[in-house]
Amino acid sequence: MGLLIPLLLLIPFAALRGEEPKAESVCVSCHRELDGPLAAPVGLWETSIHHQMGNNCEGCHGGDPNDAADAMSPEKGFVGAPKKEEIPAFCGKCHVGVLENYKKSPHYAAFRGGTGPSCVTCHQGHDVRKASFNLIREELCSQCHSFDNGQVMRRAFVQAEFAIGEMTKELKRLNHRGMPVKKLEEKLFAERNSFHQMTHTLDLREIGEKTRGVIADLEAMKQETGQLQERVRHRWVIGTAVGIFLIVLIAVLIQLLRTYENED
Amino acid sequence: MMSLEKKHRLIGILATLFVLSLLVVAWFESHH
Amino acid sequence: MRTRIKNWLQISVPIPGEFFTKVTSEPVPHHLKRWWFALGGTPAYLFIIQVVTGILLTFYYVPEPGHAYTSVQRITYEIPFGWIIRSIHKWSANLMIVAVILHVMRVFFTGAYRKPRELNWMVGCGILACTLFFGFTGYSLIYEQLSYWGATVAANITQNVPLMGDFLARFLRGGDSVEENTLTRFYIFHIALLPLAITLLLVLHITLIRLLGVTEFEFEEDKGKQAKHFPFFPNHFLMEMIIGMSLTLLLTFLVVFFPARLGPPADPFLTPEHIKPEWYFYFTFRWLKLTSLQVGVLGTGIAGMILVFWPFIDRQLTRRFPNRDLSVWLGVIGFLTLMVLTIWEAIV
Repeated sequence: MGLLIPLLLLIPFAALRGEEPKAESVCVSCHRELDGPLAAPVGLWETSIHHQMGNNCEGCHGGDPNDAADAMSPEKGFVGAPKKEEIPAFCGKCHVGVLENYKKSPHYAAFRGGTGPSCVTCHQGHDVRKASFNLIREELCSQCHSFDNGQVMRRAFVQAEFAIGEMTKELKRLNHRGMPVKKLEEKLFAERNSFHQMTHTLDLREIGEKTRGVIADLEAMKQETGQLQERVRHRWVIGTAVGIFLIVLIAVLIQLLRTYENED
Repeated sequence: MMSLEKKHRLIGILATLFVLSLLVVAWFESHH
Repeated sequence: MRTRIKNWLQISVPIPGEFFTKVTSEPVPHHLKRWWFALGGTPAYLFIIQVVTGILLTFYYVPEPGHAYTSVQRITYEIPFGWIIRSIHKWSANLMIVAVILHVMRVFFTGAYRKPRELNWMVGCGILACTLFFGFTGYSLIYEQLSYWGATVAANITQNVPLMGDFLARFLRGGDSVEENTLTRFYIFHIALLPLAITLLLVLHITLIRLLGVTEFEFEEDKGKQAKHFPFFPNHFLMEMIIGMSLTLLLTFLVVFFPARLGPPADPFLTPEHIKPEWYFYFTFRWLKLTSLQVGVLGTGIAGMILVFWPFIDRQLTRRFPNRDLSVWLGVIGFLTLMVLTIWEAIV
């Protein structure tokens, strides 16, 4: 009987919910109802990493996402869909560093010539996924040339990325055990960044050099992490010793208490 | 009227539940 | 020589020696041999640890937004044994809150708040409130992201207290947002006002217990035994020592294998995706999310009042429904509700 009371109390609270769902933009609601190629981007975008990160239509295309009258107004920054030659600058609005690196690459030179790839060739336009080294694969690269160099690059990238991943895990472990890893984490972050830049410069010689450099730096970092791991082990040993001492002490006190109890 | 023994057992059960729920919370915290 | 000092002390502090023997050898009722009943001493022991480690931490902590985080970093990673002191302080705080809650549960379910101990129950509720506020202010002092944003959210919630909301929020923050003034006053709360308040309440609490005597309970298996009491010294004292050492053992384990760490530093311009209070506030947080701000705050307030005035509510209940142990069942429901809300918040 008493259990019914809290259940009854829950009823009015269903009506008092504080949170409300987010409204969708006018871009999405309108385009969803259109025909064929004009509706396609909505579905594609909804599966993308951009959507996941909260980057909506107006983030790239401009316009007002809340007011249908101004949704495609140039005064509100609407730029429409980019023409083929405008694509790198379009994506480079946010991906500034990547654009700079791309401009140093043979891909850009070919692009200027009219044949090379732009961003969307490998990364898609609307269903953009989180970038990974899987983008360096035969079926994409062999559209224009052989995959020989690509193979070498991919192997180098994957190797270095794996080593960085392992070090990231090790630093996280050490952090959990109370070790100061901030400087090492910053160093690793910088290594990873400068390393990732080469995915768009595509200089084979530089990639090989840089990869070897990263792996060598990581070996040096391993020295430091080794020392930190030693400190952790040191703490554990002393902690366990103190613990054993306390257990013995408690056992002694319990025995002492028992002798007094038996006397009663 | 609940006997003292029964109340004692009840406290034991609730206290154990409490500590267990804290361990559950701690587990979720560390795996966020 | 010893007798001369003793005589000098006797003249300087004229308390008869028998007073001390009487105070320390008061016979302890038999039910206190059960470990659940020794839960009052646990938070007291942990509180002493908090005072000691807390004072040590103030040697290096700087209560200013620009320096707070880095000073905690120094304590954790640079100052010799700083990590131990800080980790003990953090874990002891959590254990103290657990211990106080367990103690409240024990007192509640054994009805030890009944006449003439209603006042003592309310004093105990005051101690509980202080302990929780200690936890809240202490965590804010670290000035990492969750400290800053947790304090911001808490102050915003306080704003919804009826009538006094705006005043309370401004009093908490020392302004319209969490900044310099906030940290200073949280620091003062944590190291001065709360220790003063809790010490006074603890003295009152223990004095009332000694004056009123511990509520005597008779367990089945103890009936018929000759001795209804056992001596405080050495029996009960040894028991308290064992509990103290066990707590120290638990603390050692926690400190060594789960040392205190640091999240990202507070950034007023970057709201984290998930803002959560410390676990002991999960139940109110989840409750607030289930209802609107006003209902949430009101509900929490009413629940708090019910807890504080429970001895009087219980009196009415036992008068109307004798022999039904309604208090116990309502307590079970209340406890389970709080537990469900807490776990819910943790999972989501």
